[in-house]
Amino acid sequence: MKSPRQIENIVGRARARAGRAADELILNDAEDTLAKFSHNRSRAMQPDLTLWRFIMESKVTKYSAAAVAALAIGLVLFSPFGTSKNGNIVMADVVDKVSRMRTITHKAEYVFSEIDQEEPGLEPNTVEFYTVKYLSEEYGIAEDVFEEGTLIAQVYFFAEAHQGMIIAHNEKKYGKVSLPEDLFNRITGIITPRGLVEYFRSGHYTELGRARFDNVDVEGFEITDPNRLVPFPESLRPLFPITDIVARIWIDVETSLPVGIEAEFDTARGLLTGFTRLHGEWRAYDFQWNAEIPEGTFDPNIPDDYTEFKVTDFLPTEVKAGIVGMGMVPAGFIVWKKRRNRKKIAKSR
Amino acid sequence: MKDRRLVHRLSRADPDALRQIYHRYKDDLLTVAMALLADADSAEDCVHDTFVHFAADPADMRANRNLKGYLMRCVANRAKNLIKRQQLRPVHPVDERDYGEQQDCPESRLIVSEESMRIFEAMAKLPAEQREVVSLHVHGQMKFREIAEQLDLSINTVQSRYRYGIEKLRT
Repeated sequence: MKSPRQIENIVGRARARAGRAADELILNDAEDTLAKFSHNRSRAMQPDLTLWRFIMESKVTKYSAAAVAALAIGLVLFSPFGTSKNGNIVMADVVDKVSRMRTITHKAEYVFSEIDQEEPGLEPNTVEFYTVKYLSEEYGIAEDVFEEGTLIAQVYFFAEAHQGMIIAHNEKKYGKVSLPEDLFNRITGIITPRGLVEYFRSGHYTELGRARFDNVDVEGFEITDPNRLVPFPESLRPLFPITDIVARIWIDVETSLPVGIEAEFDTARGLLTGFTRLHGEWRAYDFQWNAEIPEGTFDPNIPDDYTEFKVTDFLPTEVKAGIVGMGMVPAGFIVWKKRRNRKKIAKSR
Repeated sequence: MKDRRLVHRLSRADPDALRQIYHRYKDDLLTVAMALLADADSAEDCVHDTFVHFAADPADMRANRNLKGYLMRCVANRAKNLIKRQQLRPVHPVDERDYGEQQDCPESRLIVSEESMRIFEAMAKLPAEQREVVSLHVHGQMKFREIAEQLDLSINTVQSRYRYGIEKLRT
């Protein structure tokens, strides 16, 4: 009689494979179904941009540093361009066109998972955001952050005041950060249209060739060097320490403008990662160039009952010491610490 | 690209994401379906219905954080339904020649070697619940814990069904 292990091996040898006919039949029907249902679904999934309600507590706050991460990734992504001809895309055209844009809006998706926290057989804790970002040469940057269709946070970088601001609706809190000019310029200098152009001009990248992105014919370019994380000065990189990254940008072959950007990255433990290792995925799409930015986008509406973060209230002494001299406030960390403290208080009762 | 990302893209009606998911899991799903049904046409129907349903409502799996486990569960549930229906009809014996002719022919619908077919037939003699666990574990490469979660069973139940199933196959 065979052993259980031998039986398992024999059973495991049995395989069925789909032939071409099965592939065609199943995929055609599934794609037809996808197309049929996509219209209703896309309408149902549109977030209500006017929605302004208080949100139930969620672990998503732990990762409100996503905005910072996005800035960093945005920089990495937009760096791999020179002015030479690459395939059918002439980078000089891209540079020229983008340099004439005074506004950009786009949507983006973020997915963050904790590494090393996996339960066997289950996927790790994951949070997902959907954001709408407005970039203006004149006013700066505004980003609305949604979770499952609900506005949970707004992040601003005001060009004139050199100030960052986050409004955390689930916490009913807001925080303002005066950024040192150098850091502010590094950040906004990259992700405003003119800043993009500057970063288009240098860097090393891999050509991915022709592809389709959101049903558009594109050419892709890839960069995998985490050291190109320029917006953070060396002393701040441990806040959000990206260890590995693969980032790709897709350029429309007809318009020579970017239509999509994707990145996957892993981090080490850092202040803005909540001291856990994270895997992040980011996808920017639906770019609108020189689009009119809705009135009021850069006028934050802070409800009367919101109170201001007092960062140092929530930081333990050793962390305070660590950030002294950094000249910036890690907004994501503040929210995270706040929640941890609440739990501690609740436990002690 | 990670499963979660593909599901995200699929929820935005990206057909490329659907194709990637299909090609990633089709053979494992077909193998599980064959192990449960021992019939090529039914197995193909089972996987077909699973993907069509998935394309219609990928958000359905948002509460389920494990794409492969979710698809496996869908196939297993559909297979159970098919078995119930087939019990009301005359059962057609498996025609080995069909599979022999199809072997290694990429144009055919389902490719199953004669050896594989014999194994699937042996598995068909197991009680359905044991067959399900054995196939999900061996062919679907799912851990007992995943199977327990997907089938809403205790891990002890899953392990004992597996043990009894393997024991029966030994005899």
